[in-house]
Amino acid sequence: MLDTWFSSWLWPLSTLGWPNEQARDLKAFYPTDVLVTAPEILFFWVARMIMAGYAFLERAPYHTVYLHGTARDTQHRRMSKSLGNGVDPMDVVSLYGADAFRWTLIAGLGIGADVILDPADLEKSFSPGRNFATKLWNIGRFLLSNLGDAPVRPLVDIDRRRFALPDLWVLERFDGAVAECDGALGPLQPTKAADDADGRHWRADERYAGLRLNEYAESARRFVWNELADWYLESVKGRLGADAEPNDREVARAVLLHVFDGALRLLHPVVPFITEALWQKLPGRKPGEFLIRADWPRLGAAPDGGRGKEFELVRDAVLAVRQIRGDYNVAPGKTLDVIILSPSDRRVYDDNASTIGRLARARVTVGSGAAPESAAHAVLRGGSEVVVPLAGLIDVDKECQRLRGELEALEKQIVSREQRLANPKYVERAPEHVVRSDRATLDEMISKRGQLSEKVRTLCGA
Amino acid sequence: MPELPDRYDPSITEPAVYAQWLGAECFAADATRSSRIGGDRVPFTIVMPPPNVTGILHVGHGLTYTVQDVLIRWARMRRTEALWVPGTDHAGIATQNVVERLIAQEGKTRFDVGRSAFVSRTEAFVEEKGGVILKQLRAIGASADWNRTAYTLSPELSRAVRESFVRLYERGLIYKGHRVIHWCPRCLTSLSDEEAEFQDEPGALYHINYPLSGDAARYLTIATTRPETMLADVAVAVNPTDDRYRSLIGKTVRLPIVHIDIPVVADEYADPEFGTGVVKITPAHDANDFDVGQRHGLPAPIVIDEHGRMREAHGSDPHSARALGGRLRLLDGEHPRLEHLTAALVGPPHSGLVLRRLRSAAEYHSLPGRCGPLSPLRRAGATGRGRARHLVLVVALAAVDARLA
Repeated sequence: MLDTWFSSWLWPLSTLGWPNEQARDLKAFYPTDVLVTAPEILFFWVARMIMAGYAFLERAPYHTVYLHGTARDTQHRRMSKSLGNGVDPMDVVSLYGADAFRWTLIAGLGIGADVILDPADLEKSFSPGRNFATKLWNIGRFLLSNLGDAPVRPLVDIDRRRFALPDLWVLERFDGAVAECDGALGPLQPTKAADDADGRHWRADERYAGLRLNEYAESARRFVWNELADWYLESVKGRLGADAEPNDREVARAVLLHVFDGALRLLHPVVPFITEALWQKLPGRKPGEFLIRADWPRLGAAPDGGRGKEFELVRDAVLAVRQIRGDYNVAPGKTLDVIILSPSDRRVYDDNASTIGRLARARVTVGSGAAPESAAHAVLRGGSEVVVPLAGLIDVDKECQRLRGELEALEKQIVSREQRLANPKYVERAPEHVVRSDRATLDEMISKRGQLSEKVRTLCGA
Repeated sequence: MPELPDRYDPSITEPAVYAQWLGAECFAADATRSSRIGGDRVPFTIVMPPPNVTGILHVGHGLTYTVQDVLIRWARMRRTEALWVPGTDHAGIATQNVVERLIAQEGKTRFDVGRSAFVSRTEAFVEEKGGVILKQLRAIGASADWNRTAYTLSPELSRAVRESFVRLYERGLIYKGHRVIHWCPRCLTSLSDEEAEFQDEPGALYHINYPLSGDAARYLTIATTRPETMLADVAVAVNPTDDRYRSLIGKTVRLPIVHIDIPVVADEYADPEFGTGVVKITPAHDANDFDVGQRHGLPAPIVIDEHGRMREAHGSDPHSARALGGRLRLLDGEHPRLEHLTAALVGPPHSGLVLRRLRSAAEYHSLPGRCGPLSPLRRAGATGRGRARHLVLVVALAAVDARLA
């Protein structure tokens, strides 16, 4: 009578043909690479397989064992039939799709940690995965309808001097995403300094720090959603139409396709279905080509020099205008007049004024000199300023009244706190951390007062 | 221009895409391309922990198999010859139990059906129901090489098991011997440590007097939860440091009912703090006793057969079990184990036996045989004693012990 482990301890050997030591699969594929399992059977099974490997083939059956956590409910109890707290994967697949199921598990899987799911609220657990798939789909639709049918030149054929600032930025961000994903995944063979498969090198500190799947997934998601979709797509819109300058149009199409194609490759292992479906529809793909067999992205999309970083000035300007719009409750549809005052980065703002305008729904003038009255201000990196005149957009008097009131109340608080901190008895008697926190709060208040009074000055005159 | 529908519908896209992958053999690994045998690609292999062939996918499976699929897809894109070997586990007793329950619905047992018919029934069942889980894996996108699907009970893997057994035996790492095991009197099969379920049950600690040979006025009182096995006792043990009994070490006592002399041995297994400090030693019916028996070169007669019925041991009177049962019943008619014994009751009680029942302060551990679905080992808890007396009726390995004839 043999227990179940007596057959399963041979699994890596027997499934590849052992005891026929001439079996082709055994020679071709043994030792294997990664064993993925839960920690509970570490000794029953994992260790026994290693023993079998040494006993019969003198080599351990794998170089890496990946132990993962378990799925638990929101009370951190294991999912079990008796507790009735399980999640049926087939239900999730039919309601949200397999990609959403996979995304949720991987995005929530910190290395060695458990995944928490809510069996009573599948929507809460799995809708982020579904929403991500929807977002990818929408990006795909935009791409296809805007790229058109004409062939797209490979990026490598484009003269790099023709890249506009947003192109440089998105290519650098793509390289950044590839580097982050690679770093989080680590090498295929941690026991070696370079992966034999494609020669990628790994630093010693990286080699055993891989398989951080949730971080890899997040890096890929952040690129495609927060960078590609939120910023690049928006900024590239004007350059793709029939009325766009043809040379620039060619560049924009090449960059856009390259980074979206690359994003699909990065995401394919986690959400294979939607990425395969979208990838096959990209311009230039031929029947019989599959994403599952495509090459993993490599670094080097962006030219050296890091000039793309300047795009962040553009992005920050847009964000500043949006912030002002939000602060003063100006309707989203209303076009704002925006003046950018920039002693040091004038060229960047000049070149990208129309992009900023489109993204912020504004008429942008880049100037220098005095700022108009009754305007909201925001200070940008490098000392540039965004100025948005507010007359006619808001009730300036009312706003001034409100701001002045705020300023007054803040003054009172500052005085009282200063008095307290000037009292030697208090400072001596109170515990040190309380005094420290008091001082910190006072500093914040003073800084806020400075901002407020500036606001009042520019909006209200004095 | 290729159009995409407004809304993404996974229920349409997913099966279509999966069918494409299968049709183009995207998951199949080509051994000839492995650089280890002269090919152009470095291999990258993951062996899938085989789920039970009759299993249904739960979210824990979803997690572990998704992780593997992420890795294998990544490896494939990194230009390795990527192989993910899938398969299922026949799951031994779990599957057998399911089939037996089906047969029971027809009013039969597996013995009625006969061995080869039972095996065929099991194979047919696995054929029909088995592998559902593999289809569910496809539904979540698993890119395993289905052409290489393995099964633990296949002829090839069964051969591997036999081969490994023989090789280890030839190297002296497997040998024939006696060992106390878990036995199920219902299934008539042994169970591995991992398959036996353990439960705590309230028990009783019986004190029984064994008179000194040749001096009935003096006796040793043994304390036991398994009075029925006393008919196969081969010794009593005391702790060598226990002053109360030091002078009796090496002497013999008269085993009641059976009326044979058995030695008093010194062994650290006897705990002076527990019960009376004297324990009866029945090597065939308790793992700890078995070890004591080995240490002192004692025999191991068997007094409970594979069906859980009392049988003759020590060449004793076949009525002795009944006599014992009767005597125990006198004192505790409600004990569940005694019901079992009293079924065989007949004949007058013997004399020379004094029984006192002591209810122990802590819960004691005793358990009749149970074989259920594979479940994690639950060791009898730490209440009371350090040694877990958790073993079931035990019978030496049938294949190696000719005594069980």
